[in-house]
Amino acid sequence: MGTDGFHIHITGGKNAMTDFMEIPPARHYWKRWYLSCMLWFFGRAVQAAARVDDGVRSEFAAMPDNFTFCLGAFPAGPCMVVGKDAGGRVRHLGSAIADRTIHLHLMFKHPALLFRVFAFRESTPVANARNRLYVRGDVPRACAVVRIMDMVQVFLLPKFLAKRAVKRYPAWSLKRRTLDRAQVYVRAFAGF
Amino acid sequence: MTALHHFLCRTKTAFGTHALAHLPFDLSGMHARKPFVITDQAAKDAALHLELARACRDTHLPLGLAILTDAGDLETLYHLFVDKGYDSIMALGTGQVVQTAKALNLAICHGPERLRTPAGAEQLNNPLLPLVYIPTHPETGQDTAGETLFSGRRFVSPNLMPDIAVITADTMLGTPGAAVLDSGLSSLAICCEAFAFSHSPFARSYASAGICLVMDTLLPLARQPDHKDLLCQKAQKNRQLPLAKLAHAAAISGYIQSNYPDLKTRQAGARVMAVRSDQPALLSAGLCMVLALVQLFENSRHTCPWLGKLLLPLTDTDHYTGVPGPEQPDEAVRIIRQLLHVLAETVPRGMPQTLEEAGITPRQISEMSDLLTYTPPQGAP
Repeated sequence: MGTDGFHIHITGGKNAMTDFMEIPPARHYWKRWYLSCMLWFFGRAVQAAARVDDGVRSEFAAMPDNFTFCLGAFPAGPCMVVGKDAGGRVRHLGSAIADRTIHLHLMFKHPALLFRVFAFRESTPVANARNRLYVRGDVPRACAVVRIMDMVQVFLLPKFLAKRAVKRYPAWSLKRRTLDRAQVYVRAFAGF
Repeated sequence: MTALHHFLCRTKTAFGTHALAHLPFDLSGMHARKPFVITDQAAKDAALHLELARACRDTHLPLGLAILTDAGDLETLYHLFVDKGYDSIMALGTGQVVQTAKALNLAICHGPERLRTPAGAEQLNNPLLPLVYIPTHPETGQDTAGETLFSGRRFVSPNLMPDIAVITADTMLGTPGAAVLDSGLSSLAICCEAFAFSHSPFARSYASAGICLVMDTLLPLARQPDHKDLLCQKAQKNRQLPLAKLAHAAAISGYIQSNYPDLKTRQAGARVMAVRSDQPALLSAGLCMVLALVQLFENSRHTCPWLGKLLLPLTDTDHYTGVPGPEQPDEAVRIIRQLLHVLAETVPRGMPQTLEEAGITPRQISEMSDLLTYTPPQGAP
């Protein structure tokens, strides 16, 4: 439909002026940098926890080989991709989701909503209850990924922060809280 | 046998903290990549467009922002929309802003000539462009209803209901007490009538939510005056969440109005307003509707199917379970009367609490008897 032929004054001859402005989409560089760093470290911690902790290992064992999932923000990231290879090893595969087969997407609807979770202002279950994230893929696998995320968060965060990040703080053994946690930290920094 | 019920609400309502941040995702689901925002000067002065721009940060969504300065802007808006290739409409505001957005949507999808068709209810069955409604004040439900009034012509279609309503305290502006009262009472009357007389469980669910929102917020808002000075910014901020809840109730009443266009309280309220047109300051539309509602309940106490159950959303579970079943209809009416009584104490010039006190004579009430009495439909359970 063109604009030709639209010569009527619909409201009866008033010729008022409308203020108009265009607002280009802006980017929040600091928040993106923070989220990229957190997701990078979190991905390496998932890889480390899968090698150290029995709970995380058993969750990954139930997933098929060559299974890949990503956690990120709609529409343009940042993202974190973690996969289980043919040999059953869990690897952090970086942040690129293009040209890669992703079996499960766990995406927050806006980078600001992902930021609330990684700034520990809102836990993952609360974000889920508030309809902040969507899942593309198998729901049972998504539940397993959320359980893995919870365990890794408990490994990485001090108790007062972890309490805000998970639904219920678990009662873990002393070894799991100290030695395993230290191993996860070392492996996450070292990347193996 | 299960009865057949029909209730259509095509609007997705997003309410609460950070509800605006969900907007880019919801728009992408409707293939909207370039929204055209219509707003008014008050919203721009309060920098609400910046809230919207903040929500669209990091999402590749450019916004075109048109500030409505006069009702005669539709042609300018049409040319801006078409020339710059926008594909969806957002109405950031209430009343005139939303009606203009709906008219613009009609002009774009059905051609501008459609707005010049002869007066009367226009049935428009073709789909329209995505329309997002972000209220800045509580209103009377017209904004979310599937109708629009434009240059004296009324256009009716479920497609005119907004696709998304985003109601959040961040976009609420200060609202005068009279407008708050009008909005609250209007929503209460519509929701109460739908709850008490409708057999549709969907309608009653919506109505119940609307009644709870009004009962939670109307009295605190009426007791807390609207401050405009800077010293009272904190008090102003405390009002924003109740105002958002009231706007939510108004949105729900709009959904109900779309499904039940012939609500008795609306018609009776309009009749009362017409009779007492010499007292526009004393009688608001919402108040007239509630006065008519009370009269309707009084006249239909024995035929109204759900009047007793109305007590539950009007009060709470403890109160509801403490009242014996046969007394619940009387108690529900008493609660509404009590609300009017308490509200009257907060209004400096007072407020009528019955149709007689509003200056309606018994003869005029009897002339309106068809609107103030409920007749059960044939075959109703």
